[in-house]
Amino acid sequence: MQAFSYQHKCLLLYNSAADLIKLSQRRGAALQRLLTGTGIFPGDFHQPGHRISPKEWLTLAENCQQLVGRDELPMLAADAILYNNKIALSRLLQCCPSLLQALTLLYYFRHQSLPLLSISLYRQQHYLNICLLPAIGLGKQQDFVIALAVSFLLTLIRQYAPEAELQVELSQSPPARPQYYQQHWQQHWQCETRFNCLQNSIMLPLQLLQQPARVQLSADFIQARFICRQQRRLQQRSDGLLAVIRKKQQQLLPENSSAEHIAAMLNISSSTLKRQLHQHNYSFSQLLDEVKNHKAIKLLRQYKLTNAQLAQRLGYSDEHNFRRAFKRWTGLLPSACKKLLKT
Amino acid sequence: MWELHIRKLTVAFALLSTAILTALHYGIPKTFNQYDWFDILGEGTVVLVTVSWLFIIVQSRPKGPVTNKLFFGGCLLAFSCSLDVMDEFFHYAGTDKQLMNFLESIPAPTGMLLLTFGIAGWLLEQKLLYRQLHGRELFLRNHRLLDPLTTLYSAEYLQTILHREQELHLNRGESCCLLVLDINQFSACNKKLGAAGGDKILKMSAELILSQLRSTDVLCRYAGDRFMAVLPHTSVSEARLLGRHIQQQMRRISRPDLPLSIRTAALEVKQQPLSELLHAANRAVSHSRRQTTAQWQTI
Repeated sequence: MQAFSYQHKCLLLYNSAADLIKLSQRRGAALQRLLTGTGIFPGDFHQPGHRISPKEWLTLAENCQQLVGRDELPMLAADAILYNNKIALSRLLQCCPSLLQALTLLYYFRHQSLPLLSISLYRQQHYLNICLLPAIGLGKQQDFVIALAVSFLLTLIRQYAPEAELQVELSQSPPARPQYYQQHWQQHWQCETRFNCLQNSIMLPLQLLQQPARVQLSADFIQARFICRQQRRLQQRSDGLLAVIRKKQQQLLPENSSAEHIAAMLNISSSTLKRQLHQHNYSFSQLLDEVKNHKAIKLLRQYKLTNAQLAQRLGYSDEHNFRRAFKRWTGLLPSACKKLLKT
Repeated sequence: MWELHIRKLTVAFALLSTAILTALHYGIPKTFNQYDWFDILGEGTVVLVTVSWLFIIVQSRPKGPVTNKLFFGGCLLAFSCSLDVMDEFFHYAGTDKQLMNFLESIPAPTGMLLLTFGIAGWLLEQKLLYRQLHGRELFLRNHRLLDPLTTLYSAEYLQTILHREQELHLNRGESCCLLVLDINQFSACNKKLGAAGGDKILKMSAELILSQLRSTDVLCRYAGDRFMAVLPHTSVSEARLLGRHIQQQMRRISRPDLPLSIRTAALEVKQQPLSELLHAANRAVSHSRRQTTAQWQTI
């Protein structure tokens, strides 16, 4: 299984960056300055299948934010991408018969959009929790990418269910000047947004995902899906390095996976693995910690488990170690967290 | 911008070359010992600075009489100054000396005069440009707070203005109103026309609303498709009337395939925390959203 890193040319320029650039240009930013340091050239836009690397994309995003301002940009960019009829995936998402199908197709064709985040789903009572995790080290741009993805998903969900009651949790701290920014967010997202949370996620009521009775697929839908499938076939489909390792670690839980083991699974040496992780500002144990943290919160939200059971499922030797680790991740003891989640 | 001024640049280049060529032609080179380095440094700096002015003018200004005056004034000044520098390396004899003296002393003051006229014209131009800003700006200028798309000021500027209005007018018992304007179903427009089309609609609506406001009012872009106007010396009923008027005017840019309309809400600005006021404003305009959604769907 291949994993992409910063330098791999894996993002379609047209699908992921062109709208961001056009949007910034309409707001008075010069193309030359937007592209400085990115390694993208104006001529590249005329090549339909041109790909750029995550690193180039992240530099571009930084430039755009500097030149246009960061308040509204992720929301606007998300809308621009979703409503761009020239992108086959966007067109496909517009004309799906149901929300469930739209989300499924988005996941299936995720390599054609912006696969900088990995998605994990779990059920919590009557909600589906769509959880977003960085697939590669995003550095300073993490907040921007998360806001972009959340915006995209929210707009998509609203298209199929305009009155949906959604909730958003973000791990970033609230903006420095809350009154201006929060109003921006509220205006665009129109849902309750909480900051400083344990994870980045969207809570979607399960009833929205009901599959309707069999409907006739529209010609637009069939055509767009055909193009997407063709593109998918031409594409090298790989996930981000962090996402790949996280997945392996998760599969191996409750066993504590070692770097050597995972490296062998990926057909690379363990020192290469560590070096690559270092580029993303992550260490192997940090990633494993994150996976356990994520799993612990997921389990706490889904089931009523005792600390001993949780410790066992997460590969801790005893309850005490688990409690201490949990406190380190969240600043709370598991019991306090349970109470918090109930309210 | 400089592509507009290629002819001017050619003239400037020719003038400077003439200066150097005349000096080379008529002059007798001085020996190394005769060079006065302080003079060379001083006069050289003057030439460089004048030439940099020319570049700034060419970079920043569109074509026009004011630009011409500034540019050719600068050119003449640079011409004289460059002869001055060449003076340090060459000396002249007989009639040549008179000619060179003439060339050194006459163009400089002419150039200065032209520059002065140019700057006076620039001032006049600025005054007229300020008039264009009416309705967009009140007492504060800060380009960082501008919304880059509509070139209206953003929510932060609105708060500053509201704060000042509270301090100034309310204490004197004068009323002041806040008019909220929100485009109906803007996301549907976005969906139909794409992001570029949506941006165009925002820009058009901003221009239209601006043209309907009075000269004392200030329009800001609050967020997304929501605008807010501060109307000093206005009662709520007057503000509502103005809102209704703008609603009617919106039909001018609305098309049958793309019905554009706005909903408005007017609030009186009182002595209250700004966050409360803005919250109330947002609630007031969201309240009418559901009714209009239903209307829109019937279309």
